[in-house]
Amino acid sequence: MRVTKFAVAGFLIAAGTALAAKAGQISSADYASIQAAIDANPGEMIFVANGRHEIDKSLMITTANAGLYGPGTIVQKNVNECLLRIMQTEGVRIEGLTFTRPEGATDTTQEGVFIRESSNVTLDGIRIIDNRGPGGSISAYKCANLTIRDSFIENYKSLFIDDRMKPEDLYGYAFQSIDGTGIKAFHNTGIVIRGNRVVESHFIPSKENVEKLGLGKITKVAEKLGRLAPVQDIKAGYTSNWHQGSAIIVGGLGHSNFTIIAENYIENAAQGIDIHADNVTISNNIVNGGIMGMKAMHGSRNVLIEGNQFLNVDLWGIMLMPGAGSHPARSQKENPEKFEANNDGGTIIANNIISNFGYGPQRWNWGGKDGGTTTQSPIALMGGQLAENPPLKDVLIMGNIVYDTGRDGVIENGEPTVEGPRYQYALYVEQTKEPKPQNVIVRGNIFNAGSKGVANFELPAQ
Amino acid sequence: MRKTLIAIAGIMLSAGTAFAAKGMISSADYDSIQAAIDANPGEMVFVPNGRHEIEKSLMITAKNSGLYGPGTIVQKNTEECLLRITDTDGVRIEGLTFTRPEGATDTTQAGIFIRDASNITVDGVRVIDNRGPGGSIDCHLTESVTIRDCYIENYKSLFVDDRMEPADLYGYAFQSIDGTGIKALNNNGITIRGNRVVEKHFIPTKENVERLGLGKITKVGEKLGRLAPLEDIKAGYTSNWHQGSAIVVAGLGHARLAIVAETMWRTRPRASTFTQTM
Repeated sequence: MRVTKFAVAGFLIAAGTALAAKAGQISSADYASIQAAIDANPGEMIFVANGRHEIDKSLMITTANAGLYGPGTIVQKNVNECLLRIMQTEGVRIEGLTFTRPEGATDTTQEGVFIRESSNVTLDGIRIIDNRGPGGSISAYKCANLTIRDSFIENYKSLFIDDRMKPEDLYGYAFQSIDGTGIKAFHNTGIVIRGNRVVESHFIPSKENVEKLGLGKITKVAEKLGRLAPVQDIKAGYTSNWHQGSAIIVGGLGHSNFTIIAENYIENAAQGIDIHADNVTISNNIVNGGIMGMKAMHGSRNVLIEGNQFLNVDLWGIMLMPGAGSHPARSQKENPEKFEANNDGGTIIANNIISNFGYGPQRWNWGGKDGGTTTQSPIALMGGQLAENPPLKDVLIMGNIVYDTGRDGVIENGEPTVEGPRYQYALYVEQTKEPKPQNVIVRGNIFNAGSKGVANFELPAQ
Repeated sequence: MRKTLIAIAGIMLSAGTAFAAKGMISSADYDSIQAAIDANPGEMVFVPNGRHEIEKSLMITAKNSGLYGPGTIVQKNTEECLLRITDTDGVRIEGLTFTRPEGATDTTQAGIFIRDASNITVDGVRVIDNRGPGGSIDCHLTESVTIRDCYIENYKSLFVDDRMEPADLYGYAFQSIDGTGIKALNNNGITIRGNRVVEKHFIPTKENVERLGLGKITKVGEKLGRLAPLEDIKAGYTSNWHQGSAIVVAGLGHARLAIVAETMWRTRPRASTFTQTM
């Protein structure tokens, strides 16, 4: 009988092994943990089976051509750890998995999926849900040839103190904010962000929520305020700038280039798409609901903004500005870090539609029926933040529509009401504050007039 | 004893059923990937992890069949393609890596060659080190082919660009670097979207050109054609030594309805750009 038992056991083990080997699939189910499967199979794709796989240390991939695929869900219980780190490697692929944090442990200062100093990494069809905080649900740093496609990011914002005590010469204050980033890419080259959805359904920027959470409250003030500190806000103890972060941000002041952002859908962002990079194509995206649709500043050169829809935004649809981070080319000896020209312009804004402007969730904060401030505009080209910033130049604006949706009638108390435009000018181009934009060419657009006109300057017939 | 045996049989049966419920046709269950393809016409075959060496091109001719999975196909034979999809319809290739090993990377053959076929999808495939003018992915006389989200790396090789024919136009040959990432001649309705086509191996520096003798005229016709560059031929050197395209769609009058979108190509070596950004 004992012999029989051994035989049975042996047979079953052999059969089990044969079965596992039969399909040839390396499954994390055959290991003590997903990390153990990764470590035991360098350079291989690991199948992650159905089910919730809890972790309390970040998954880590460091070998070339390794990866994860399958229907499994990774649940990170530790708020002090990332979901997955891909470090100093190449050719890694992550396909189809869901990553999340459990209720009560969603808010984090850590990144979700963090890719650092790696090349040819592809994230394809993954879902990151409830990785809430400024670190980014997906964050890439110093990578080359990275693709993030067909992925879904939900709920990436959390309460956060926005500390602007530094740089002291510019700011010198801190305030209570909501901050969060869907996809964050700094200092990368050749990144493609395509076909993703970045949606916030947890935090809604309503007046009630802001009061309940004390958003905008100034929490710290320096003895001496910097040049860009909002003195009146600081006196009043409140800034309306409490909604921070972006659905997608590509930055890295002068070290970020060759980016494609295409066919993404973004809903309820603070900023939809935020660019501080060169040679960027932003095409066929929809940004629905936010403070702004997109902005490009701090040295964003040769940005192609084409075929996008920006709707239900309250401050800007498309905004270009030479931010404080921009500078001309300068001596490498004197500026060993930032010597190459980092200026704004050489940009095309074509075939975009901006509609429902002023009908977003933050109209109460940024606008009003009178259309808010003058610069609050569906398309805005601004002067430099600092006098020494190189001017924004060579911008071609053509074939766009700024559509005044209120004319069609909006339903109020069950009845249609024709509303006036919720902007003063469809197009605002800074005319006085130096450095002001240079060589802006505007042709063939349909701009429905704002409360004060089509543009804040004499615009040739379109 | 009898009970035990029944129990064993029961366990084996249920284990077997559980496994079969996965429903996966894996190439690991066959002698070779080709054997798996041949035994399962019209089915998608899973290619598991690992390097699967071949020395004859994989061949798919049955409708609606295909390959998917994390496996890497390594073609050791420079005289053979990586994969041929011919005279068929509805084939899908998903997620695989295709490559040639060191020392056998240069080829006159195509990598993935799709011919006289329709509704073929190549999705998320990597073709690495299929170096030569044949094309890492080559479509010929097809309809409705989609090549999407693929990665092609290193597709160029040394090659004598022979323009002896047509004699009335040219009549010379020269040493070149030639290579094509995605080649589509005489196709209708092809979509090429979201791919990366990158050359890291050959960098067109002056030093490389001198070392490899690029541009050197190697043959001249007795009578030169109308478009032959006389001065170059006299000097024995043409600056036109860098041939090929990351993506070429053509077929003189027989290529229509192509969408080429969101493809990122790079010729700079990733490594050096990467170092600069560090």
